[in-house]
Amino acid sequence: MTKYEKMSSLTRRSVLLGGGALVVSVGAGVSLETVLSIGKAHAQGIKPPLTPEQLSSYIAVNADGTVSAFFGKMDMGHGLHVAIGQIVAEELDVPFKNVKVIMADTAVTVNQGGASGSTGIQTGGKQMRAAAAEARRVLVEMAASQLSAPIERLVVNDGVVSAGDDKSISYAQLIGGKYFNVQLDWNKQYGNPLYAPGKAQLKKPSEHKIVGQPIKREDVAPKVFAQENFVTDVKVPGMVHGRMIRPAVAGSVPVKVDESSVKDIAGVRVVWDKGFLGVVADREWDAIQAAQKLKVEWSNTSLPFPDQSALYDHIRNASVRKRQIEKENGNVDEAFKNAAKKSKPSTNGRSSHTRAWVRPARWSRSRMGRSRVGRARKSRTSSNKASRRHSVCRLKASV
Amino acid sequence: MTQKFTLNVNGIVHTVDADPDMPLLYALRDNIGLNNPHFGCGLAQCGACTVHLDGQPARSCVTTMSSVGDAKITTLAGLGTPEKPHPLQAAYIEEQVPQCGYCINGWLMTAAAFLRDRKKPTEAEIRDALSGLKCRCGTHISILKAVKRAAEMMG
Repeated sequence: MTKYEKMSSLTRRSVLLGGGALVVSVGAGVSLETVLSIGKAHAQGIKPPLTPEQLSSYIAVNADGTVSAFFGKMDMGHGLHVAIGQIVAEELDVPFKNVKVIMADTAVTVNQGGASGSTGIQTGGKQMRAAAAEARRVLVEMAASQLSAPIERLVVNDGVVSAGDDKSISYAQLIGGKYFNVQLDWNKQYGNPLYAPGKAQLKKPSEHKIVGQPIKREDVAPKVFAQENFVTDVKVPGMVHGRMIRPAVAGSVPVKVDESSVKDIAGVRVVWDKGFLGVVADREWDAIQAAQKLKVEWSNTSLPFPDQSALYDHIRNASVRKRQIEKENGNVDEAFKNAAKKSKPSTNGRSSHTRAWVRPARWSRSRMGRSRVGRARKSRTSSNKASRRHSVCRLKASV
Repeated sequence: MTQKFTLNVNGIVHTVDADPDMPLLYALRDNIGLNNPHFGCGLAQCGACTVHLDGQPARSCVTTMSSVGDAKITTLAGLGTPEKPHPLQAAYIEEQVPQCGYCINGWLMTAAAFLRDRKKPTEAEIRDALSGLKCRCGTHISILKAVKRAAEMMG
């Protein structure tokens, strides 16, 4: 089974259209709204709306018992489909191989923030974990009713809920091919901050059996055998190739563009809109050549930067644009007055770049000691708090 | 002016109309439609575009059509298949080397030629042979492990 599905083979819509999927509402307290939305779903043959507060926006149990995990972020080669598959399988108590992760298709996933800032697990995974845990809670509740057994007696193994005796029922039997219609507690945010947990308790890390296991990625072999298309490999009918033309110096814009300079390259078109300049052509090599040959007059020819030889003077004389102390701990002046040992910072005047304590708690002080701020801090042993405040000042002053 | 070129790529003969100054890379990608090799820098500095010309690694982004002649061209797709993988491909899967995998072509093609000519290389020799390649994901240690594994497989 493929861990992540291509858009062309999405199961959800096909299941929906072919199988006449139903939406079931479960859990305590079915509101009028929920009832209406079930009715609507029935009438239209669709699932509940793709909104962040719907459990069905993240998790669906297919008729064959496999699980679809709809993940609103995109993998950029880190193997997120493995991690998300593990997280969902773990909280749902289904085998890892039974989870399909469908990533970043805006038709079937909510906006969890795309690919950015290594947030795939820490924010995206957090939500998928909460959703999977809620799905399990709801399924166990359904099973308790079906099996006429108290919830406390139920255990789940590989997607089958058992009551300890002969009685058991699978997720597929409970909801397979139908959608959850369960409301989550959405924090009303989209993108990375999106969080919509249910009522379920998450598993403790000590209980994890699937999360933490080394599982091989299924995208490695296609890459190794040149069977995987990267974005640059995608070709669509009627596609043209484009090349940007950029100025030699920052802040420069095109003033005059001589289109006749590329007229001997067949089919080249110049695209010029204010500061944007590019060429397109049917063939890639034609676009490349046109980008090289196009004669352009630019507004600036000299660099809008201070003279390199006077760079430090420029920095010293630059005015502070913003100074903001976010948090103040202790008193720097007081700390300096009472310090056992004083030393001057090693900088040549004001910093021209960001300097701040950006440190995960697990980093050792010796590691940070390599930075200049770290050294300065070490010499001011009288007050860690005071020097921390100083660092924050510096950061803000130089932004 | 374009000219007619005959290219033997992975054992299949293709006829391509192209500017003699056009780099081979664009013939392979655009005319023949291979998704390997990749454009990385266009300056022969990263290796993502590497192919074999008569078994020797060449940077196709700076290899002009007119210089190819009748050399046999091998791309990553011609190195091995899932059914019959090159030892390097098997080792890459075993070691789970790539992160994004965009540069994979260059490392595999360069290492394949190196391991063919140098049996039981030392780590220093492997590092030296692969020094002209770039991987921005930083998978170098995994690459090293995979090349060592493949070298063992190749005896």
